[in-house]
Formats: sequence, C-alpha cells, structure tokens
Amino acid sequence: MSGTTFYHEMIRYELERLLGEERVITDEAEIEAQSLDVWWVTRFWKFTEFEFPKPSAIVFPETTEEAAAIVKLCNIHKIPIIPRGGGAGDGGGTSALTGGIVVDTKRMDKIVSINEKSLTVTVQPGILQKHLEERLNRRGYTMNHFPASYTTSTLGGFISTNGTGVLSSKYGKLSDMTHRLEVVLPTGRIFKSLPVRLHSTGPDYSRLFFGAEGTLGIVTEAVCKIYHLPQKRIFWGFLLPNLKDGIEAGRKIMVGGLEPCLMRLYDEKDTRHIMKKQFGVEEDGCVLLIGFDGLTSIVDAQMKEATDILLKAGARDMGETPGKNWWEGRYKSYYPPNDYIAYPWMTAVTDTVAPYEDIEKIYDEMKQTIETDFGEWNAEFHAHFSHWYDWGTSFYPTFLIKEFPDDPKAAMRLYNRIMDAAVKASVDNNGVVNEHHGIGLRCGRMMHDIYGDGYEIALSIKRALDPNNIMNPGKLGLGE
Amino acid sequence: MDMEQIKETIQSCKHCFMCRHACPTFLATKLDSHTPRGYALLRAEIDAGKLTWTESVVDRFYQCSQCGLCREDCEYHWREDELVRQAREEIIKAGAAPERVKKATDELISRDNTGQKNLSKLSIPKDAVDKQNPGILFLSGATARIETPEVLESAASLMTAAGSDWGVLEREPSAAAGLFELGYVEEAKKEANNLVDAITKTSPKVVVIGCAHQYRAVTHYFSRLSVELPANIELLHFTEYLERMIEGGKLKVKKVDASSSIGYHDPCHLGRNSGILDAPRKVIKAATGSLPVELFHSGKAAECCGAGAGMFLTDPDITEVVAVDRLSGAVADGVETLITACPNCTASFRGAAKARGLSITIRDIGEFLAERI
Repeated sequence: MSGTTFYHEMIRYELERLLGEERVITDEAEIEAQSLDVWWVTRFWKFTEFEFPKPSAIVFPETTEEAAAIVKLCNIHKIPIIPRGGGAGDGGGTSALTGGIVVDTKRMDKIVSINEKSLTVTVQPGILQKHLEERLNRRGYTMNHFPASYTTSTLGGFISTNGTGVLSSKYGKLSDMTHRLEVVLPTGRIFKSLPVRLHSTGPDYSRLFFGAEGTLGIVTEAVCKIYHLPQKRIFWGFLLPNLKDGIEAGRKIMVGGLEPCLMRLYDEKDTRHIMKKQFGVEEDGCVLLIGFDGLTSIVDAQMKEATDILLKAGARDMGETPGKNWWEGRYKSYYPPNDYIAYPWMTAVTDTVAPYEDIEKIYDEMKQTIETDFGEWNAEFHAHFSHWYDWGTSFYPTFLIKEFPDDPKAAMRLYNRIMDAAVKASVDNNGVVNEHHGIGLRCGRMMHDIYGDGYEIALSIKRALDPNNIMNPGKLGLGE
Repeated sequence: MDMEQIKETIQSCKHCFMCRHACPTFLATKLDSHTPRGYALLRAEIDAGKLTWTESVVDRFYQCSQCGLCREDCEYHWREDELVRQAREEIIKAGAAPERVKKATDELISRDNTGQKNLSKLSIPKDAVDKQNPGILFLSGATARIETPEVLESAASLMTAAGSDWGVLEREPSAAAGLFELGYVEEAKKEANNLVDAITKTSPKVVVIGCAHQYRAVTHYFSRLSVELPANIELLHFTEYLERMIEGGKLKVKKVDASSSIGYHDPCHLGRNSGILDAPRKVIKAATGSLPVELFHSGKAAECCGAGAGMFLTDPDITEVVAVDRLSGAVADGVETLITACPNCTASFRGAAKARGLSITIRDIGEFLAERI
C-alpha cells in the first residue's frame, strides 16, 4: 500500500469501520511474527541485511461478507491483498511482495455443519486442520487429511495449494476431498460452486481455485468429504532389494486395484538413514511402508494381496513395527532439531509427480544433477515416494547443502541454480513440479517455461478475474 | 534454565510452527505473535538488535498464561514457557513493563491483605486460624479467599469431617507463583520467604495446598528462588489429601448414581506441570461411583483455563476467551458439570460461563465432595 500517511490512515479507518479496531492489526510485533514462512529464503534473509517487503496491515475477517467488503475496498483503491491461512508454506506464497494488506483467515474457523447422511462437513477456511479433525473425531468421523503441517496449517491453505496428506494414495488431494467452494473474487463478488461437483452443467469452475494460491480470490467456505473413523487401520514394513523393484511393486499394487491408504518407498540413502536411526542397523535396500484402513475384512484381504506382490518382488517382511512407529511418530521429524530440513542448511523440496513410465528416469536425472553438478558444494539428495496413484506416483526429493556462500545474494543464486536443475530434470521427462507444496515465489519465475505458450490461459484468467491485479501479486508467475 | 538453554530454545523455536495449535492465547487471538514461534522469533530479533522492547512486542510477551501446553505438545519439549518468563525479566530490567502489569503485580501482593480481611467473614473455625503445631496447615491461595470463598469453606468442612487437626494462616503470602511468572523475581522471592516464615511459625506436620499455582510455586519455583520449606514438613495437594482420607476410611462418602455428564478439568499447574492426574479422578470416582468423562484434551494435554501467570489480572479479556474455548470443548464432549481442582480455574470458568451464558456447571472438587459427605 503506497502513498501518504493521510492515505494510509484513511484506509485504516475504513478497515476499522468494517471490522472494528481489534481486527485491524498494524503493530510491528504481529507484522514481524508473520514475516517468514518455512521457505529457506525467508528464513535465511530474515537475519541478513535483506528483508522481504512487509504489509501495512493484517486484517481478520470472520465472515464471507466481511472478506468481500475488504476485497471491494482494496479493489477500489488498488491495494494488494495477501490471503493468508497458517502462513507455513515453503515457497513465500504469503509474502507481501508489493506491500498491501494481509487478509488473515484464521478467525474464519467455524464448522458450519456436519452432514451425517452424505458425509460432508461445511467449514470456514481458517480452521487449523488438527482442530477440524479433532472436532470430526469427537463425532466419530475423520477427513483423512494428514499432511506434515497438520497441526499448524489451515484448510484454506491446503485448498489454495491443492495439498495432499500422507494418506493421499487412498483419499486424494484437496481437490478430490472438496465438493464445493465459496470464494470471494478479486472484485469482491462472491462465487459459489454448484451443490454437486460431478455435473455437466458447464465446467466445474471451483477447480480454478485449487492451487491458485490466493491469486484469484479468497476461499471463504468449503464443503469437504468426511468418513467414518476406520474400523481397522494397519501399517506394515518391507525391505525391497532396490528402488527399481520397489517402484514396480508399488505400481502393481496400485494398478492391480488395491487401495492402500499409505505407501512410502524410501530410496537407498533414506533407507540407510532410517534403518540406522530406527533399528541401529546398517542395511542396504529400500524400505517400503504400506497401510490399509477401513472395514476389517477388506483391510485384511488387501493386506494379504499386497504382501503377496511385495514378497514376489523380493521384499523382506519387516513386520508391523516400522509402519506403526512411523504412523505414531509421523510429525516428530518436523519438530526441531529437524532431521533433514534443519536451518541454516540450504534445503528445498521439489516434489515431483509423473506417470509410472517416467518417474524413475526423473528420479535418476534429478539425483545425478544435484549430486554431480553441485558436487563442489557437497550437495546431498535423498527422496521417498509417498503419493501413489493408479497411473503414476510422486516422489519427495530434498536437496541439502550444509555450507554455502555467506553472501546472501550469492547463496540465493546458488539456490536458484539448484532449483532450475531439479525442475528441468522433471519437466524434460514428462514430470510436474510441484506435487503438493505449491509454487509461491520459489517456483513462480519458472511457470512460463514449465507451461510454455500455454501459460497464456493462466494470464488471461488472471486478467479477467482480477483486472487490477490486487490478489496476491507476484505469485505463480502471474506478474506483479 | 540458564541463558545458554534460553538461546538454544530461541534457535529451535523461532522457525517451528508445529505447536501453535496448542497455544490457548493464539487460539483466542489468532495472532502469530502469540504463538511460541512468534515469541522465539521476536526474542531472536531483539537479541540481534533488529527490534526493541516496544509496546506491541512487550504486550504479546505478557499475554501468555505459561500453561506449558506448547512444551507438552513439542516432541522435544522445548521450554517456551520459560523463554517467555525469562523475557519478562529482561523487559522489567529494561524498564519496559506495561502499566497494567505493574498494577497487577501490586494487586497480587495486596490480595494477601484482602484475603486476610475476607477470612474473618468465612465459615472457618476461629481456633483454626494461625493454629500452632497443627497436623495439617491448609494453604488456600488468595483466589479461594476472595473470588471463590466456598472453595475454602468446603475444604474446611471436609478436613473437619475427616477428623483432621488442621489450621489456616490468617495472612497467607500467596503471590510467589504469579510474581515469578510475571518476571518479578525479587518480589517473588520475598513473598516465598514470607510464606515459608509463616509456615515455619505454625510448625505443621503436613502442608496441604488447595491452589495449583501455590503448589507449583512451592514444589518448583521455590528452589529456583533459593527458598526452602523445612525438610520435615510433608507436602500434599488437596486432592492427594482427599484421596488419602477416602482410602483410609476417614472420609465416608455417600455415593451418588454415576453420571455420564461429569467431567474433570486438569489445572495446568496440577496435571501437566506437577503430574497429579490420578488423585482427583479417584476422588471423583469415590463420589460418583465412576471415573469422570475424559475431555478430548485431558491429563497432561489439558488446555488452559486462561488464568495463568496473572493473566486474569493483566488481560481478563483474553482469559475469558480462553476459558470459553475450554468450556465449549467440554460441552461438546457431553459434560454438564465440570469439576476442577484449582480456585483460579474455578473462578475463570465461572466468570466465562456467566459472561457468555454457557450451560455448564463449574464445581470445585472439594465443593463437589463436601455435598456428598
């Protein structure tokens, strides 16, 4: 928000008139507390001479109507809006790149209703996923969405990055989990998708907003699928001879009609780390964790079929302990001291999804380019395959450099070069980066290369919906 | 916790978002500056010279109830509550303590006098006051003398019913916990010494403490203030005393029908921070024939009532929202009567239930039991 003090004060007054003083925050304590996310760059720059631009105000609507009124005001005055949920993304998606006003949705955290017949929940977007899940659990239901940021991120954030959780192989991404959306458009008008998602009444326009990262509007309500708590949920561990055999066994499980809720295949490097950390043994191969849930009889039958496939692939049955331990401690590695993503190490995740015929090649090339081309920096690469579909799979690679240039600009250039190399390995081989982390600023600059001329469709939609370019400018490569 | 440990906590927590879901103040305000990560980041920026103790920064540091739920939630139990408490010492040293905090500090100390005045109006046997060499010296805490006198009166009736030889202090110095948590270390030490002197003068065999905050002060803070109770005095929380009296047959409970709508709220300083979880549950079971309903978040994971660290005095609006959140959760769990074992929780919950018209009854554990004797 540029301009004079008079202009600032006028806008502030207008916002306070809409929301009340207590929901218009301009103090440095909150602006500083919101000034970084989980992206290495925001963390690294925070204590250097560089800083990301900051917003002029953070506002907290509680209703769709309040959110719409804020957007209308900002659209009239061409003030940038940064929609924000938990603010724990890993790509700078909630950075106020051109200043403006953060519309923080965390006070929009009400469960509107639970439909126990069709099994859906109607909910505001600012609820933390853990709180939503616990409220559902109290009634005997679950949403089955358990991402790494389960305890800290909001439903709206997951919708806006089209996130996935660890049980996505069965329950899908947010776009699979969501029946209906309500969105405040950049002009302040309110869009409501039709009551049913699977229809032929024109395109399902709600799909535009999954992964839009707040560039096309603010999600203000969602109707999501819920399930009964499972009668049985089991997890099991296997050790495959190598990654190639592991991927092929996983493929057979998925295309063979089985529905594991969890399948995680760790590459050799990750496996050595896990085996040593969890079991204190040095062992080669690739650990695969698999889980099933639902009705006991179906779980047992599917587990038997999957075990047969894995044993035929040369797997060693490691029993229930590895899988059970992983499930029970699945968030542990995200608490400091972190396992791999520990600050100040330079790290990034370039989660990649591709059809089965391409995924292995992408993995090989990405590993090769990071470990070899950045060998002078002792770049490390490790990965696991954690979201499986009946047409392909995704892997979750992390690169890690422990010592990098002290100069923040030089460090940033190194970071960008590695990202370019990793993304190229994927894009050149029919893969897509990202699978579930979103784009933000981290990969926004690459979007034109990734899509080619076809990105004109995104630019056209953006221009049509947001003629003043107020919604989260600078993200997704849509221009500032 | 020494400065090295504080620095390590800052480094660990300043980038970590994981425990924010547990922070009661964050849930009330939805501000990132009210999260453990927010506190650590702000503190890191102050240490790096990028920020100073400005009004908004100081404000946030005084809006934490130090309930310790973030520490409990953390896989590695980083002590954010202590980070905040220690920051308050720095704020005071920098002369940046807000006026409302200074006022609350004065009030905490003056509550000892108010409690003394109120004691004479309560149904407490006169010969119990400042009784010498009692079997039991009962410490009620100031809140039970001022806001919830029925808690002290019911405790008195139970000790009498159990045939205990008991006494109370006419003037009970009870502000050590609050002062220490607000960062006023010297004042807390003075208050702690005053309490130990008063206890020593009456020379009891056992000290029974009814206030979870007072219990936390004596069991955890006194040693950090280099203050000690005489070693020959046994220390019990009131729920432990009740459990002992019931199991020993000294308190005969007239059992009532089991109810599925009676729940128990673990006070932070009693459950999570002192590990006393079973005694109150056994007492309730003795009174109802069944264990209380376990709230969705209970035991060491229980959420705060919002009254901790003097927040009921410095920021009553936040206290009320935190208490309402906790009570709403209890109602969602099917609880109609919520029992707790700390006068501060009782006062906080009753205030919130009344202000918001919530249909839930709040009972102190002694009150609840006394009605069934």
